[in-house]
Amino acid sequence: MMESYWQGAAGVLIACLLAISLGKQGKDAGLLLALAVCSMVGLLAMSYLKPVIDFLQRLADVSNLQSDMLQILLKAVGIGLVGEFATLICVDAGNGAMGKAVQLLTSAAILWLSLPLLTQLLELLEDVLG
Amino acid sequence: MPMDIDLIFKIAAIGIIISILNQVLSRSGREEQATMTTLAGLVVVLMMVAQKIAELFDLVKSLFHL
Repeated sequence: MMESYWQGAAGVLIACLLAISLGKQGKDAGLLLALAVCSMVGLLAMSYLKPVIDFLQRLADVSNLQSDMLQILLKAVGIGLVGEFATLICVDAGNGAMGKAVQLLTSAAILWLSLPLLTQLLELLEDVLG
Repeated sequence: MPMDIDLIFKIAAIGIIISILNQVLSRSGREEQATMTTLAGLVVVLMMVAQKIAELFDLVKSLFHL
């Protein structure tokens, strides 16, 4: 498993050098190369994250935590990761406005996702305050 | 899950070939053909990249129960 980390790091460095060597003529291909490398490294990172998420799920089961809560948190993390990835690619491509739009979309999606939690909190506050 | 290094080299090679073809066609006065060649190359690379992005999104969806 550790070997794939070194392979990934080396792959990114090689891709970086290749993107530089493409120069101004191959700017578009360089951007697509960056996109491909980011996707592949993302896939690699997800394979590392899978056992961690399984562990978190087990931890939630052991501590009798409501599974809905953890699900919402995990979903928020997933949306955040994808949003950040898309934003960085847009900014790299020179489209800052599109990057900001994706960021806005991500924030809105996470807020919408956390509505049940906020509703529960509000109900709890109402109960406490009478 | 090993990283597919071949794809990086493949995309870089296509990029270099596109760049050379673009230069050659531009210098010989075939601007339209140069543009079309660049476009075709980019579409080919985009197809490869889109596949990887779809793979990543599917994995994130399944991993985070989205």
